Amino acid sequence: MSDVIVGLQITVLGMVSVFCILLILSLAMHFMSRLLGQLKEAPAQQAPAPQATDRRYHPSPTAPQVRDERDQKELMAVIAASIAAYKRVHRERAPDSGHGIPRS
Amino acid sequence: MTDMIVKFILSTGFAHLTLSHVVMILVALGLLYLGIFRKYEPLLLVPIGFGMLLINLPMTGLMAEPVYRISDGSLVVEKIGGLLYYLYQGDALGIFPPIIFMGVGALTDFGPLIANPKSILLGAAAQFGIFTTFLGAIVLGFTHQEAASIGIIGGADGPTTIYLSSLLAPHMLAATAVAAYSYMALVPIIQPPIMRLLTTRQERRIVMEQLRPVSRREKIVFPVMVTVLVLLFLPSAAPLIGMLMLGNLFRECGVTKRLSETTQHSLINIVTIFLGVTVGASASAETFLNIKTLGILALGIVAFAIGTACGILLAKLLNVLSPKKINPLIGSAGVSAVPMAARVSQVVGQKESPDNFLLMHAMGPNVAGVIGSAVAAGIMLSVFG
Repeated sequence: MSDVIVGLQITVLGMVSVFCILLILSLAMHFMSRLLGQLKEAPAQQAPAPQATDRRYHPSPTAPQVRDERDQKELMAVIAASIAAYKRVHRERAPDSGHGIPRS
Repeated sequence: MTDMIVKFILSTGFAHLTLSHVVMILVALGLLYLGIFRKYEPLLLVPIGFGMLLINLPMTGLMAEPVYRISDGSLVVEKIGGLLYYLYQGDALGIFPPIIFMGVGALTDFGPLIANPKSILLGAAAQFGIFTTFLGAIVLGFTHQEAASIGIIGGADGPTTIYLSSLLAPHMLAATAVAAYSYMALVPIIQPPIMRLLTTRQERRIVMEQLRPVSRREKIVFPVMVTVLVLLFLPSAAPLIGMLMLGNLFRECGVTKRLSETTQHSLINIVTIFLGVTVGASASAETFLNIKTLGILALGIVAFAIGTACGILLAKLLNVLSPKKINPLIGSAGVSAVPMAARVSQVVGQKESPDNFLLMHAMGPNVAGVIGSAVAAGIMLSVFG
């Protein structure tokens, strides 16, 4: 009987410990993400605003990642638009092209 | 001449073959069949099955201990041990499982967990199966150490099971390892009925928000943070958590590509061979064929089922407490079994709603389960080790 009581105590202790340790990890991960997010945003906010008259692209050395992400999205939009335009043009021309390439 | 023939016949395995050997050979062949033809965890069941086959062929002496004698005050080896005896020391001394964990860490992307930290709680809930089964095993008459080795099967984590069993109840290592890997292989059969039983159709159709992208910096900080935090609370979990996170740091830091690749492929494969064969080799007829093995197999599946159920129930509870809806099916992935348990969540979810993609959401609790089972093992070790 005493074995079972000890077992019960260990069961409760074990369950509570696992839950508490993983809860602390969960909170730590949450704070880590927020902290790292702020660290990433802070330099971006400090970067000088570009001059209204100067529309050329100036890479900002203080915020490479923010700039990168925005550039990536723009680049993806440009590529997607180009592919769509290419497909539209070639679909229209395909009957006259005479290459005999089957279209899906 | 006749004497020579008799001597030869007596030296063959046939002369020493007993019924228990035959039974164990059949069990080994069964494991080989499951691994090769049914593709159930073949990378483990094939070496385990073959190791079991080797050790149950009489007179091979593969697990024979070395014999020493003292000569002129120094220890001299009179007869060297069997090949598998020396390889088995990697299990007995708790060396192979942490190395496997390093490989697992190098193979695991903790991104889904970092993106949704709440999902770690589902990994914690799934570990409840370990402790309830631990209590059940004590009630059935197992010692505390044996009960801990049985309960840890519920974590569905092979290396953790082997690690804990080798340190707390080495005589049960083969049975617990075979049970753990067999049930891991049977995840797609064991879990879906429990998942369907504990969830409504509406709950299974819940579509979760897309996970946010996780930065490289977060992924680098994560293994260091987990190592420091967990090991400050639970130093006994250091071999498992430490190696798991070291492997993950190799993967994420971006400057140790060669180490990461070696850990992910060559190292984990080599150690898996040794671990599998030696675990199988520890299943001799004398240690495996007893009533306790049946108890271990039965309690193992109970542990697994309770772990699955607790993960689902906590997900349902979180749904009540939080405005962001969680599909409770991802709770079952909290038992480790990476990535099979997450795949089961995805498959069961898609049966209800083909457009619902739960895999990445389920990977959060799934990898949390690996950490959770290592933490549970650390708690057992700190109490009984």
